[in-house]
Amino acid sequence: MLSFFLHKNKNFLTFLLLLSLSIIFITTKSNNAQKQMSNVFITTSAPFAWVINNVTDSIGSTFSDIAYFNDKLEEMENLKKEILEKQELFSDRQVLIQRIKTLQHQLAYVELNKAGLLFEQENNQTYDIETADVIMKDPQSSYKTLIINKGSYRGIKASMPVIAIQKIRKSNGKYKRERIVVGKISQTSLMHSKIIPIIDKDCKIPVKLSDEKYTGLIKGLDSPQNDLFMTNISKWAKLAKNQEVITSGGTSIFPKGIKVGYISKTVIDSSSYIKSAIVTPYVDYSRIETVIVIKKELPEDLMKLLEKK
Amino acid sequence: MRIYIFRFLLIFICAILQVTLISTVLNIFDLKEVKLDLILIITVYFAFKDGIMSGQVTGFTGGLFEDLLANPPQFGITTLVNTIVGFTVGTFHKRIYSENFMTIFLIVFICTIFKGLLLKCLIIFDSQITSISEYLLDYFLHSLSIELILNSILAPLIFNLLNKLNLTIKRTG
Repeated sequence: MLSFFLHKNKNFLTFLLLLSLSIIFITTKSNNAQKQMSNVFITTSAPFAWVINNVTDSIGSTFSDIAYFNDKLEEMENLKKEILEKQELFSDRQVLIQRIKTLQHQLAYVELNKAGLLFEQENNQTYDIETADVIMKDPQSSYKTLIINKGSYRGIKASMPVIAIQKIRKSNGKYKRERIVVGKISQTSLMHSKIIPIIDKDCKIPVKLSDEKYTGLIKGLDSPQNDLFMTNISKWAKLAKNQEVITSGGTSIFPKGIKVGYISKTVIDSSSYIKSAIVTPYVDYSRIETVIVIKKELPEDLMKLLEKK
Repeated sequence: MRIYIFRFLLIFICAILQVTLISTVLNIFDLKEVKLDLILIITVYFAFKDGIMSGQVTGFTGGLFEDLLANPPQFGITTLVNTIVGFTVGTFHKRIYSENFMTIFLIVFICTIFKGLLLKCLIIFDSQITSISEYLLDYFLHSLSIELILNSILAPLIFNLLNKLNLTIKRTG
């Protein structure tokens, strides 16, 4: 009977037993027993808790590292942008500085001209000048193409002489800034002008030897070395290597005393009444950036005579 | 025998997860009073699947583990409450179809309310709280409401997982 009763009501009896145990746990104020039980259980479960905590910590730290790296990447991108902006500003600044220097040079030429120190004044004549930047030059065609950024709106006309101030090497080996011949204006438009360089065979300039009174005519040779050919020199003239050649002035479009080049080779023809020479020009077209256009025109009738020729 | 050992280990691991991992995660979201009651869910599961005996023993064991790990002020209260829940739910074994999402959702919902209120009533009985209604309202608004949603939504997923583990006792005949 008892076993039957127990079997039939085992669920309820078990429930009562478990309930009683729970109530005993609640009502028992013995903290020592509870603490000891708790300690034993915590010690047993410690390895599992350690594994779980470590796994969650590593996953958590991975996510936080990813977030940290993303933040740093974003910061880096922002810094890159900032650096690019600053670089642009810096390069703009550099361009501005260069432009200011060029303008300062040009202003200096204008001041020199006003003071009458730019070139020799003949018959107390003064000439206006126009400084300009070379905006186009073609090294592949031996600098036959030189374009400047000033044109007819500034009063520039064809045949006007063009000079520059460059450092040239003297015979004593030292460098000095001198006025040198660049060429002549060949064509103009409103805003630009084209220069025919002195090394062009169509550019002919009356010149003289610097230390003698003898004159000659210089023209380009169209040679790879960009040499000039000086001809019509009196047979009485004493030619020597490295002898300086300058513009003769007078009726020439170029004012007097502007350096052209130096004799590199003399050409002797005993049957001829004239002497010739090969002249190396001072001008270095690869380094020319600023030129000076001298607003000097030949008289009209002379111009017409020259054109007819 | 093997099934009982696996069940014991399952209750043990759920107790550790509940006290360590889940409470840490909930703390991050500033939900210190809230807990995902894994012990309650597995008690309900075994009570539904295997009956009163399974339910009350699972509830008692799980509650005891929870008390030992969490070390509450009144030791044994969780054990008592989980045993009652296990016994009560076990009486509905084979009377309610437990494979439906809505059924599981509702039963766990009701069990969470029942457990929460029973627990708080026992605490109130043993403490010196003057304003009981305020205490219960505060508990409902800040903890129980979130627990209800967490337990009810995750219960079907956990039931599904436990089904795949196949830890129920297969009775023949």
